[in-house]
Amino acid sequence: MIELPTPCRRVDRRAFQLAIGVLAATVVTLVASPWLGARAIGAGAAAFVVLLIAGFVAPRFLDRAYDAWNRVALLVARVCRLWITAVLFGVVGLVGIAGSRLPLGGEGHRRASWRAKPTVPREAYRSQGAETGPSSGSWLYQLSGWSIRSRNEWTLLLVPLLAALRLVHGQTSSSLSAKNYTLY
Amino acid sequence: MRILRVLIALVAAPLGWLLVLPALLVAAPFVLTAYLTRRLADWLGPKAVPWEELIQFEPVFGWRSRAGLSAIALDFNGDPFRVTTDSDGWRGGSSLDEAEVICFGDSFAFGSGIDDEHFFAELDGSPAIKAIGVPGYNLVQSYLWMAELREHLRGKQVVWLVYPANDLDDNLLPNMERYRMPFLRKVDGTWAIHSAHVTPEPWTIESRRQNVDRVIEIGAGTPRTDRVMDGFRWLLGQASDVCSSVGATLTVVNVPDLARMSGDALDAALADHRYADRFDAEGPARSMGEICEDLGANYLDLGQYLEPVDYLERDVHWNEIGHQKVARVLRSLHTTSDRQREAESEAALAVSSGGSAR
Repeated sequence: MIELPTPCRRVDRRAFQLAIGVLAATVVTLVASPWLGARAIGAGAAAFVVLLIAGFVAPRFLDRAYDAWNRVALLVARVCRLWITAVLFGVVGLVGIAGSRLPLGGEGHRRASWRAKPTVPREAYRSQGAETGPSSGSWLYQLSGWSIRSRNEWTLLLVPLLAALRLVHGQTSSSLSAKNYTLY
Repeated sequence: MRILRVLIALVAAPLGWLLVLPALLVAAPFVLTAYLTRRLADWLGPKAVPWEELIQFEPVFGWRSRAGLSAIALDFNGDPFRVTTDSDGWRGGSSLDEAEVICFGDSFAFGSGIDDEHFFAELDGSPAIKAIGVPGYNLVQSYLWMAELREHLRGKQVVWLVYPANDLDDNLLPNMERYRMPFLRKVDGTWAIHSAHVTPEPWTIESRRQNVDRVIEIGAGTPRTDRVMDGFRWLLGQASDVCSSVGATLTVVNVPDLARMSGDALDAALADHRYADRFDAEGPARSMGEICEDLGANYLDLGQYLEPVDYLERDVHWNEIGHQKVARVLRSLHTTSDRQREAESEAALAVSSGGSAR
């Protein structure tokens, strides 16, 4: 998840302030360490304290920083998603050069590809789409199971790309009023 | 073909991994910050009690807040506020008998979104205020408490907070989401309170619409407006009778919806609403004032005192400043009613002494 919690609660703002402080302290320490040596830790701590005080002294600045950070994060997420998706489809397209098992041409073209649908098992009551097996386990477990069963083991090599895509996936923005418990 | 696919993928996929690496490096600070923020917020945030645990079933009334509560609740935005209730389930430091101003209502009277120390009924000052309010209440429920507690209201200032944005319409509805509540029903041309359906069983049919739709419909002078106002008139008559039977002064107080989030929602809904050109935001409050005048009840519009800055940023309820203003207004109301009572008794005395002279 790349997006900060939305809608922003007071505790989220405070947590953001601390998170930024920790990151700034880490960056300052790393950058300053070649020159300052062990004293770079002190510089990092100073950066953390300055940011902490700034957040308390100017809460409006913190609000604006939170919103601005989220806007940039969403923009970065969109660009990254586009890029990773393009790469992902590129890999799938390249693998597609090996051809398809579907009889799309020649003699096979004349045969119907329709198959009789078997009776749906009781476990498929919730969803009759795609897989009818048990849906327990993580998406990685399910993908592995499917790739082996369907003899598409190569898709396991897509996992790092899918994981990257998931990492930059923004939070689905929830409408405050839609699901809110409107007891007032 | 299966082997060929694996072979191609073995070459193409690592190339793909390399290609996405710069994107991940750019995204890393944001992902890390978001992750840290969520974890720290979980760690820093107080453990809040869900609404279901703050309220309990109450026959006839539907629900009420639990007694002896000391908990953290969440407002609409998910921000916490501390709630403490007394042995009867009401907020506010003073007891019902000590208080000179008794305030009935819904979440505004309950103090949704505000910590105990900033709640209008907790703020220092004289006279003491007691709030008899529970989130989600319609005016029927408030009235029923008024009738139930009538002996405690003797000679006091009774304030009835009315939030026209949903209270007027809720009077005619049998449920608040899955909670059953007493409501007004007109049978053979006569209004009556119906509560036979009030049981702990969840109500399964949702008849309550979004506030903004109802606000527009009621503010547009529709048949629904006439019906909800007619119901309000009847209910106010009942409440006036209860108060006058114990010598209490009843004042209906309009709670305007000045919250920014409500304003934004209303503007968005009005942009393409069929009643947009007939909508009058002040209409319901004005009608309430006229009905109060007709029935001889006092009426006060908090819109004269409150501004949008007195409301929480992402909630429809009052903030600390709003609560301070409301406390001041309610106390001044009591002083005014005291003066009014004195003037009335002086007038009565003058009449009676004039009568004896004759």
